[in-house]
Amino acid sequence: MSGAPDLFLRRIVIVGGGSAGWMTAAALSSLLDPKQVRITLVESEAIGTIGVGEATIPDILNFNRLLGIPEAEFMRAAQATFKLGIEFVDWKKQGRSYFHPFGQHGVDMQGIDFHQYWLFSHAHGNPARIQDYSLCAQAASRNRFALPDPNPDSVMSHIRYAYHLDATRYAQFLRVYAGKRGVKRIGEKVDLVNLDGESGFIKSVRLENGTAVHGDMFFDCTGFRALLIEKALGVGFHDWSHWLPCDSAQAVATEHSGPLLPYTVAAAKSAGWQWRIPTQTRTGNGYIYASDLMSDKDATDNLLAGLDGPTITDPGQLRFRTGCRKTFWYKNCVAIGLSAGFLEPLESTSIFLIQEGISKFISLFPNADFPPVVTEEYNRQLGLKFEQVRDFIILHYKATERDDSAFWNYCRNMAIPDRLTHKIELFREAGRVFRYEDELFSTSSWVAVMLGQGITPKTCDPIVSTLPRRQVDSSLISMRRAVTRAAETLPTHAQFIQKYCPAAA
Amino acid sequence: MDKPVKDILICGGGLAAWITAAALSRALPDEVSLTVLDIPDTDKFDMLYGTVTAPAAYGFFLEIGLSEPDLLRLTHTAFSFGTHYMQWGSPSRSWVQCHHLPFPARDNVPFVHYFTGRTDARLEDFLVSAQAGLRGVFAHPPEQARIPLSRAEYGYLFSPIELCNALKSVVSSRNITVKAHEIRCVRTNETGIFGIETADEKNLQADLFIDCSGPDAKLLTALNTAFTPEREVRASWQCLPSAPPWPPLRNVHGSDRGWTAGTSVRGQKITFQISDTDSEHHKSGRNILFGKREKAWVGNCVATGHAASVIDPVSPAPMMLLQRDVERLLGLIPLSEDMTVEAREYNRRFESDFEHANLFNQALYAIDDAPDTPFWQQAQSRGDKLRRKISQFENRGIPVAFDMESFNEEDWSILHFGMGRKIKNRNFFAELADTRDIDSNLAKLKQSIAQTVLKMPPHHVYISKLIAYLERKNVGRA
Ligand SMILES: Cc1cc2nc3c(=O)[nH]c(=O)nc-3n(C[C@H](O)[C@H](O)[C@H](O)COP(=O)(O)OP(=O)(O)OC[C@H]3O[C@@H](n4cnc5c(N)ncnc54)[C@H](O)[C@@H]3O)c2cc1C
Repeated sequence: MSGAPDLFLRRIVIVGGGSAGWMTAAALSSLLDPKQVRITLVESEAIGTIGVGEATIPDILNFNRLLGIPEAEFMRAAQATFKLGIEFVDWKKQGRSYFHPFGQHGVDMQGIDFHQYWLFSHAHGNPARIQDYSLCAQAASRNRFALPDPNPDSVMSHIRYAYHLDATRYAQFLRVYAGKRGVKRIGEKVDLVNLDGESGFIKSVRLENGTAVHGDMFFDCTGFRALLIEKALGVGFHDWSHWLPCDSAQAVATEHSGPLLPYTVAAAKSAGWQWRIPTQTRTGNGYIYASDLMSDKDATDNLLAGLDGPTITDPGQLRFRTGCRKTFWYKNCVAIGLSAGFLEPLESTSIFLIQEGISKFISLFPNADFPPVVTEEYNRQLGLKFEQVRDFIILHYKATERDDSAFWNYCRNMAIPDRLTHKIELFREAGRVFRYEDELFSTSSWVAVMLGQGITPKTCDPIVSTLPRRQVDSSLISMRRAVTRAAETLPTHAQFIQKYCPAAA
Repeated sequence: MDKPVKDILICGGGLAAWITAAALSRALPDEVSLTVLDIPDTDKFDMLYGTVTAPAAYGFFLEIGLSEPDLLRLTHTAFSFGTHYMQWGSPSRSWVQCHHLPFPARDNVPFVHYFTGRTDARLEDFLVSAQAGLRGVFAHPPEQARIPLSRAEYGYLFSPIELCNALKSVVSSRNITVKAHEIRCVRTNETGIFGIETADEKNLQADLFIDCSGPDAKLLTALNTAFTPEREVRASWQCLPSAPPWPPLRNVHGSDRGWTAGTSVRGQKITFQISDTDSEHHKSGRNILFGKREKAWVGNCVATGHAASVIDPVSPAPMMLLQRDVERLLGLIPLSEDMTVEAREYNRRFESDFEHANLFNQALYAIDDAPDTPFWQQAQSRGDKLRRKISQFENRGIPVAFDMESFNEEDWSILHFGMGRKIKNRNFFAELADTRDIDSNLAKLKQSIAQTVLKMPPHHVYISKLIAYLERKNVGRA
């Protein structure tokens, strides 16, 4: 064989134009020269996109930065608002809520996690909640927002944020971006996938109009349909519904009412939970439930009863299965987005997992001979990511005191993955959190959710108790004061958006 | 309510015992009483901790109360930019396994790809710590990111015996009871240890026993914890006075029968030799078993250092693992008699720390044309993880990392290139980059490193001046 360049991928085909498809197209087009590599995206208006998916986590900032997208421009286009965290209502038990903020609680001191100091002081009568030491939580509870201060000495440097956005508009925005960088879009339905008889690789996809689109490399971004990876290539699925039993959603948009919240609300319900996510022009609402424990009709009624403004769309129903692909990259096809897996939207991780799929692909960018060492490594890394996120989400269901419905009784008593059991036991002993390296959720996140869900450590780390109590108390008081003062001086979320990135009316 | 942990007994008198004592005495509340049972002669294998540390030692020593000025004034420790492997498995294989911050990336292309295939130069030509090491010069890496030297990292060259003594003197001012006796017998029951009888017929009790008794692991052995041997070697060592210059590198020379390491601390040269166990040609040595205990924490007894594992000192792995043992223990100090949760987490991480440090050592011996001698053949061992590391690197130059590895991505890249492994397929984006641009950037980088190194003082001169300064300002313990 001759020199390496002949092995280059020359034609990349992306099937699907939801967030997954357009994020993939945009990222690849930002790096590849269209003269060297041709990228084509096929999407079908007849099928359409899933159209939900509005909350994100801070990693999306990296993605946009990598693409060189100016924030305000993107926010105007996607009608986006800011998100400082999630308020969990009624999860531990009815009538109780907690806040899972982005960023840290307080400040770690002397190499010891902040929450250990808090546990110590709390055990000695300090009534403040751990979220009172988080700037994001404090700003959120006041409906206030400002961008972080780049100066690391400033309290305001502790702000971490993500967005609430209109996923359809975000995809449209990326479509324009990718179009400018040479991505060719075809609006047709794929009706057949042609495989090479010998190698089993995908040779081309046939469109309804009879033409074929050939490629060296295919991305399956067809959503739950998984047209390439499953229907054509037969790759199986790890079903995790015994851990994450919800399988249905009803979604509806409403008019705003009340102040513009800079956070997501996730309220636990009798057979699932309900989200509320404000974009600039509407509020997205959805009810997620287990269909064998609640009828669709009851779910719709429950959803409509739990709204705080008039609806502007009709409720739409979705079915899904929680779990992920056994192999994400098989032959010359990579599944990204819902075709790769879905862990339900409780911690807004879907867009993040799309990003991971893209960035791991880019770092492993293959030649056209697809050496197995490349695909194996990709599959190993993505599998780990899905499992780590999965365990964090399961924690919310498992650690609960609720016993008011069959749903919660099931969750409270279900068996969970061993690794999660160990994490919970370690935390219960002395508030210790051991993160695996590269894990998405930080120590602060684990702590917020463990405490919020009612896992109370028996005691704090003995090493913290060597410190004089007065000294610990006074550091905590001054931290809390600084955080509160900073939060109080911020503009409201609505004011900030109005100045920074108002969407066209 | 369970009985709280109030009494901790550290059993052992070598480096592991005193490092553990230093760390615990700093961290624990006053209500917990700490006793060291200083068993005579447990330090006789301390030389197996090697004579080098990785850069992480700086922060660790500081945390246990031994600052760099203390270390320099209490011992003859010198600085280390890494290890120079020479004639490694073949007469022509030599490289500097230096310590370095992440390599620069350009236009989304990781440095290793950027440089692969563009030049005949070796990776170490572009690494300031390797170049400085080879020239025998040293200076502390500055903070300013623009200066090439800021990319260097350093560890220490040290004598384990001296380090142990320094820690003893540091700890002596703290609230610790020390008893010096042999152990006569370890009394156990189904939950663990309930007493240690010493040669003077005292029965020592504690809530937590820490086994620092060296490779014999007197406590864990009494609890029937098996040792999983990996291989046996013969080792010997000696210290001789030596005059400057002292290179800021440890030298490791390979030979058909094993290897010899030379470490110059200030005024002394420590020579350490390892071979196969055929005593005919290596009479003076002792036989050593590398391997680990199946568990490092059993019941109310936890082991640190050699009592938990003995690992080949061919790299800084032994000190890395000792540090990990102590940090792991600090993070898991048990609160009460029931220690099952802590023990499980400790053992889980012990297992993976050992495995991952050992991977690096195994990679050093993974040579296809290794000499056909007992030493090199016995050292061959390639599990799944190592195969993945090597094949990912060779095929695509991709770094494979596992959870919480002690050796970082740069260590691995330097190792692969040093051993002569090549990247078959460069990163796609490297292929697209403008080759003239790459060549001129590389030439500039190489030149700026060469110029930096020319301006640095000889290692021994730098250290002498530094110590004179510390003495004058009275910084650090003497
Ligand atoms: C109830 C629910 C709530 C969610 N909430 C969030 C959230 O808060 N935050 C978050 O990050 N994510 C959320 N998600 C996930 C999010 O919706 C998806 O991750 C994201 O929209 C990506 O979807 P996708 O692009 O993979 O699939 P889709 O949006 O379904 O897109 C599939 C694309 O494939 C095309 N297609 C399919 N078949 C064919 C064919 N035969 N020929 C041509 N084209 C075809 C379609 O036209 C479409 O363009 C949620 C998901 C659900 C189900």
